Amino acid sequence: MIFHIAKKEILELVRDGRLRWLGALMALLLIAAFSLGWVEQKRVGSERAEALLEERENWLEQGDKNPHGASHDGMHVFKPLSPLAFFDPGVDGYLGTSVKLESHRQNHIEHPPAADFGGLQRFGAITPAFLLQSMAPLLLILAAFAAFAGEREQGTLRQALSCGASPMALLGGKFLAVIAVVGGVLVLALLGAVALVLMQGTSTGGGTEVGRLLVLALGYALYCAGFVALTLAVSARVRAARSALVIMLGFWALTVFVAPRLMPHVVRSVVTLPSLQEFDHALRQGLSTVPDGHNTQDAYIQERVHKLLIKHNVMHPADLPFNIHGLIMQEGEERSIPIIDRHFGSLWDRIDKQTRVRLWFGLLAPSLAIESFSMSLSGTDFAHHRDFAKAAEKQRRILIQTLNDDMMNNSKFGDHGYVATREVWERVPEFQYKTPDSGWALRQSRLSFVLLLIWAGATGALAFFAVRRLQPL
Amino acid sequence: MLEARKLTKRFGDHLALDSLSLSIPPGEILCLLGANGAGKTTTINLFLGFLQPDSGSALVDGVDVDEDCQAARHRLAYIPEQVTLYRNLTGVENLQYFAGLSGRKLTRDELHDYLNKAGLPKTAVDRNVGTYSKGMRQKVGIAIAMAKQAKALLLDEPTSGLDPKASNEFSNLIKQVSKNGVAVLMATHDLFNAKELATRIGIMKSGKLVETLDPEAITHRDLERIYLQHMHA
Repeated sequence: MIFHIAKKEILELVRDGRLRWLGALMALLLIAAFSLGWVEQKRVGSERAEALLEERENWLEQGDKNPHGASHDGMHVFKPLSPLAFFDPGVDGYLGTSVKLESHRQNHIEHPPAADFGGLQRFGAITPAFLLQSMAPLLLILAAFAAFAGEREQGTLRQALSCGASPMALLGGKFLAVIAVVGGVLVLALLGAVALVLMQGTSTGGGTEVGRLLVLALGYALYCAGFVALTLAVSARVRAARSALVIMLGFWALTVFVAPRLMPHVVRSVVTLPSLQEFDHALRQGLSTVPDGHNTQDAYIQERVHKLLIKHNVMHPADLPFNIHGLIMQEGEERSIPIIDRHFGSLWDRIDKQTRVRLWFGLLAPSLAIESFSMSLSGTDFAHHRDFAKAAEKQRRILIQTLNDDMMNNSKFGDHGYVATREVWERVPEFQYKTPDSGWALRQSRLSFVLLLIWAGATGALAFFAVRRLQPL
Repeated sequence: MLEARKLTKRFGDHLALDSLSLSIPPGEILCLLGANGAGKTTTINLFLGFLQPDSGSALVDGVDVDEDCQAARHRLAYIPEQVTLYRNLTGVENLQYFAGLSGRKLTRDELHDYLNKAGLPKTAVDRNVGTYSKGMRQKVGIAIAMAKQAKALLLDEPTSGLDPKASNEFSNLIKQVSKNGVAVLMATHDLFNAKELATRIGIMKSGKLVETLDPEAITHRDLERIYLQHMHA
């Protein structure tokens, strides 16, 4: 019975000229969004890959110099573009893309692409994710708002019920039909995304990205199903199709446009963040409590030198079997690590908390849940940014330890003219950041997934109760 | 086949149906006459389960509508004053859909056969019903009712707005359906049509069945006189 009803509904939807045009427009917009995203992905991806190679080359070709001097000159690493950034750029554009790795401090990731945006781009770019999050619900609402109310107005609901159709079968059939027709556009989007991911080749982890896309498709399916169920519920309860349309357009505008713009103000009032200046000042103050190894008159360093002389049973630092300056520098680095971790950890935890607070409002506005879920699975949310920042900091620590070890083991105390060669620079491993796998991303986005499940379940229940006592009068 | 037992329905303070009792055996056509608001359409809506009675019960083939609405509807066919169909579907597609809702899967030949029997021109069956006249839509309505092979037929002023020829064709079709053992309950304002079609005529006023007549035993003029007497009483 449900399939029989769905078949008729599909026939009607397909023959509805207005929906045909809207569907075609949506498909065109999706194709345009994928094309633009793909071009941008290729451009930015190759720019960053080139920059990373060039930076590595510069590092290796920096010539002979003192290793600690080299650690101050440092090197830059670049955040690779997520293979799914073309689908959903998320907050990538507003977070940094490169970070300088140097001794004694962890730097902020800088140069967000948004800094290069033209004025118009600040109003938002058309991306596949934006279209699916905002335009797909509109298409679903337009396809479903008259499902019951329109039939009630025309009198066909009376005819259908008198023939023995159960209200639940009508609900199931209408739901399936709208999902099948509009779902065709969504499947087109999914296939487009899979094709573009596969075109990027295996070097960017194509297999993992296809897995992410499939999970993404599930999330979007729940999001869209919720809109269909809610529209059908409203259509079943109101007398006129026009009323159903007005109610659903109001809800759509609130959840898709108002809520996301209101949230930053709400979230900032719930969880505050320090300004960049406040954060840097606090970090500097924290780091000033541990000697960085430059000031040899520092009491702690004096005591450390004294203990080492006793341990090795020598009278002068020059008699030690290693360059004590290298050791002191490394120890200074290690003592700064807990302070750096505490400050950055606290900052990131607060940003995570802001993200969670924003996400909980997804119970009221499902666009917030799908937005977070989509960014997460696309690898363009803050969790992925944090993961990159951690990987970059790990690389910094390896870099500094390699240079300090060289100074400690290959130079003599007081030999200020010591220089390291390319052979030492080569010991620093190349920075190769890989986006975490889909399982990690799914774990990060489990709350948004649960919220999408709640949204789909709650609207489904609402539709069930609205239609259970369906009356044609 | 159709039975109302002390059926009562109120809309706020208004008593729309006042303890109505009637019974229509298979093969009988009962035409209900009465002014607007007499309770004819309310009676039909109660048999369809579109309204719930305040007291009493409506039974279709022994099934209490209020207890098992779906089972009752499966035994019924219904043709309203305006048969409403899906404008973007053809006559055949509409019939196929509604027959399917009744649990009947019909071949293309069977669908055409039902529409043909209902008197729909062959040239119209594959046209969108948006282009149909009211008479043609009523014929599709009859085809739907026939295809359902229901045990009872409810008609709510089905000839209203039809030209005399179409009205006459419609009445003949209903007679054919009735001869197959279908119980027919028809609400109408058309006294002439009622006299020609019915095997029994009921006159309703203020939610009550105030008179039952045998159309064979009275003339058109008698029916009109009795009807007006009740209306002016």
